[in-house]
Formats: sequence, C-alpha cells, structure tokens
Amino acid sequence: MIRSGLVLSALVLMAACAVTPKAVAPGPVASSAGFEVTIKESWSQWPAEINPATQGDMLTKDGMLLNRLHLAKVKVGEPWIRAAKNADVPRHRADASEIETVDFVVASLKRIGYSEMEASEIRPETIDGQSGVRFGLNGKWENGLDVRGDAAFVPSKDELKLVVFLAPKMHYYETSAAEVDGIIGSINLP
Amino acid sequence: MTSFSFTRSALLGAALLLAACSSTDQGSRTAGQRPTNLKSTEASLWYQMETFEKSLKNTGRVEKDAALQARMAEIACELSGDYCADLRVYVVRDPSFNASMAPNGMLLIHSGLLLRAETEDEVAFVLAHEFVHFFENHSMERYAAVRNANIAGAVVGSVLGGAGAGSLSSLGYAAAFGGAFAFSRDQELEADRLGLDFMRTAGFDPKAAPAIWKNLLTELEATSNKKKAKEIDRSGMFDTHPLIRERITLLDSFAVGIEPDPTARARYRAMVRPHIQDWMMDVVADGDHGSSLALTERLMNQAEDLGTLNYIKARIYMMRSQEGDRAKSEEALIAAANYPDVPAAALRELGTIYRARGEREQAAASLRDYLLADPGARDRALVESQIHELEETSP
Repeated sequence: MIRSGLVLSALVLMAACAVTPKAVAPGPVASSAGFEVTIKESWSQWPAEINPATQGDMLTKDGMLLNRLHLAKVKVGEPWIRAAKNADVPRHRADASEIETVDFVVASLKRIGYSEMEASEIRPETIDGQSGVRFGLNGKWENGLDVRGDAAFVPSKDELKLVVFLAPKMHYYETSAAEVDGIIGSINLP
Repeated sequence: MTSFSFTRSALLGAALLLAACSSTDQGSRTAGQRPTNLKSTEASLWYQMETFEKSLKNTGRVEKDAALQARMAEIACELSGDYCADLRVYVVRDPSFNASMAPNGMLLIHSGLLLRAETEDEVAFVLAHEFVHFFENHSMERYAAVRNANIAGAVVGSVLGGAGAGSLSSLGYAAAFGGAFAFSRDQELEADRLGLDFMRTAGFDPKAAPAIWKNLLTELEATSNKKKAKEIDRSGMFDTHPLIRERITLLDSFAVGIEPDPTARARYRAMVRPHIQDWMMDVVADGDHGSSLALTERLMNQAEDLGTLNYIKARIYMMRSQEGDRAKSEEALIAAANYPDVPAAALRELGTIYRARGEREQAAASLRDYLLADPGARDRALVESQIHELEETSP
C-alpha cells in the first residue's frame, strides 16, 4: 500500500516536472480555458499548472513582467485568482451585471499585487458572435512599475470566458497592443 | 497574512516554546537609537526593512492623501514624544483590519483599520500599541527567541522562499517577515497595557481601546464565512495574539475614560470621508457579505454619508444575491438618492435592476440620469448601448 502510494507520488511529481512553458508558433492556440485564440507572432505558453497567481493559461513574449496574456474561464462561485476554498476573495457570480464583472476583474488584480488598478473605456463588443465587454486597464505592479492593459470577457450562466493582457506602460504595452487587439478579435468560443 | 502553512507555524511555535527557557529581554530603546554594529542581526533586519520602506513608497499602495498621512504622523508623535523622529507612519491601501511595526521605525496602518475606527482616540490606541513593540524592542526579542531555537536560518529562508524572489517590495514580503517573527502573546499584552499609558499621557481617551475591538468583534460575529465564524473563539496551541474577547476584558479593566469629546466622531469621519466609498468597496469585493453589511450599518449609525453608504449597502445585496436581495438593493438605492452624497453609480445600478426586471422605460431613464450625473463615465459606451437596446425594444 505504502509502496504503491510512493510510486503514485513519484509519477505525479514526474508529471508535474513535464509541465513547462512551451513555444507556440503563429496560428491558432488552444487553451485550458476551452477557447482558442489566433496569434500572429511566436509567444510562450505557460500552462495553468505553473501559473501561480491565477486560474488558466498565460502567454508571454518577453517574460511575465513584460507582457502577459491571461486566457481563463471562471466558473460561477469561483475566484479567478488562486485562493483557498473558503478564502474571502472576489468570486464570479452568474447574475453579475457587466459593470460588476469589470469590478470583479479589477478587484482580482488588486489581490495579486497590482495597485491603483482602474478600468477605462468599458464598451460592448461582439466576441465570436456573442455579447461581450471590452475595457482598458491602468495601474501599478507591486514594484511601482506603471502597467497598462486590455481585457475582454464573455459571460454565460455557467462560467466567464476571460482574456486579460497586461504590460508595462513604457514601451511594452504599445509594442503588443495592436497584436493583442487582433488576438481578442480572434477568440474562438466553443 | 503570512505565507506560513499550519505545519511550519506549529514547528516554529514548538521551537519557540522550547527557546523561551532562555531570556531574550532586550530592554527599552533610547530615542534616536540605531544599530551601531553593522554586522549585527539588528543592523541586518534594519537594512532589510529600510530597503522595503524605500520600495514601498513607489508601489502605489501608500495612500496619497497628504493631510491624512500627516495627521497619522502627528498622532504618532504626540504618543511617542522624544521618539517622534524615529517613526514613519504610512497609511497603506489594504482592506484588512491591521497595522504593523518594523524594527527600523516604519509603522504601517491599513486603510481597512482606519475605515473601521470611529475616532482618532481609537487610531491612537493602535499607533500606541505598535509604538510599544518598537519601544520595547519586541522584534529583536522575537528574533533572539528564534535564534535560540536554532531555526532562524530556516525561518528566514522559508519566508524569502514563500515571498518569492524579486518581490522585496510587496506587502506580502513584509507580512511574511512579520509573521515569521510574530510578537508573542506576552508582548501583545504588554503593548496593549503600555499603549494605554502612552495614550493617557498624550491626552487621548483610553476607553477607545476596548471600543475598537468591540466593534471588530461585532463585525466578525456577523461573518458569512463559516470557517471564520468557527475561528473567532478558537485558541490554538501556538496562537500568539490574545483572543478578542480576552483583550476587550483586559482593556476594559485597564482603561479609565476621560470626559468624552462630543465632536470626536464627526471630526474623524470628516478626515476619512474622501475615502469611505473606495475603502468600503475594497472590503465588499472580498465577498464576506455578512461582515460587510454589519460594518456598513455601523457606519450608517452616525447618520452621515448616507448616500454613499446606502449605495454600498445596495452593492452588497446585489453581490449576496439571496432571495429578496434585489428588492433590498433597490430600496437602498432609492434611499441613497435622497442624500446629496449619492454616487452617480447608484443611478446606473437602479437602471440595471429595472433592466433585469424588464421595465425598459424606467431602466433607460435611470441610465440616462446616470450619464447626466457622470458625463465622463468610464462605461459611457456600454451604458449608451444598453439605453439604445432598451429603447429599440420598447413596446
């Protein structure tokens, strides 16, 4: 019994070791969030298993602090950020209004090290034929770096499909903003 | 607040209990005292906290209200006398009820604590309590206890590992560091007792000390979080903080009040008023609706800021979303509209409720009122599209 437990633990550890960031070539990218996006340049994909702060995958070109694109699904009653089962953290609600969902995303970001985070230009957007919302983000990373971002979500009764891009305001946001705009436009929902 | 797991806390607690056999008393500080031996442990801790303090200023976590920051520094000076120049107070944006004191004189007080306080006297008690930790060298005593247990390296290593490389500037780092060398139960009680003396000497009302804890207890008892509810009266083997009820009893027995100042509450509320909505929304976002409602209702008892607080109450009901909460939310929003401080967003939330009920004309009217009240609304495009949709589909 003990031996089989040890073997199982070893297998789990080995499997965890196999989860590493991988390079993804231009083209459609599948994510653990259950939707696809299409990228025009090469990015690295960080699977959900090694994403320490939030649920879902992340894509980056130059490193997580320089540009990061979160691809996530958030089930009703669950947080987007990683948290203990009973923790008091922002959680997605089925009956949340659009602005409440924007506030949910902003409050979640504040819990993982961003400060002065605010949403801007909140607007409706059709995403793969469904009614969604787009908005901008502005704030600071915990080291004081000004960050800027873009986000989009499509709510449904069961879960929220969420894309959040964040990068330092200086240089990195502008460099990727147009491509990210295209990526959000390419969301392919199941 | 700390990154410690139960197992690590338990091991640390056990080791500290064993180490307590040897004395770690460091005595009191003298004003202006700094570490003289640059190779000492104190100098090392001092340097780490100074580095953290420098980076803290750039994080965006420190409140930008200069008058509020200045008043906190003034109160700290009134309490600490000759030690005034040794202390730097920072109000940091964090919804939790907390304050902390670093061995280099950096005192952090959370916005969540200022939100819950009702008078400057209550804040003075917290600052006095934290100052005693500094004055009595409690951090160094705690470090000595950890060192005597021969686990200092492991503790610091696990703190740094838990905080993550490169996150020296994060509040999490400070919290983890503070947690590793958390003050003992005796130190906490000493800080309460001596804190009352400093308050009294500086002319603050010592009766405020039990008052702030009583209000917190009421809020905790209203929690919707079952785990938190179970922990209110649970005393773990290695708990370092006295239970709240025990603390209230002790403070009540020590604290002899002075003539209460009838303007104290109003003066304090005026100071924090610009932040009430933001600080409350930080609390509300975490989803403990029971505690959030209790806090909101307590703040409403002062019969001030009722536009803002009714709006907050409505948002809590919307988030809680239990049977009948939509109606309660609507009632609170309508009540909010009767006060001059009603946030424009209350009109938008009313529109959202009417829209969800299919009352299109009323919904469109409320949303239009919202855009009139807040012409630069960050969600103007979204709201305009909702108005358009409501009017297009009106029968």
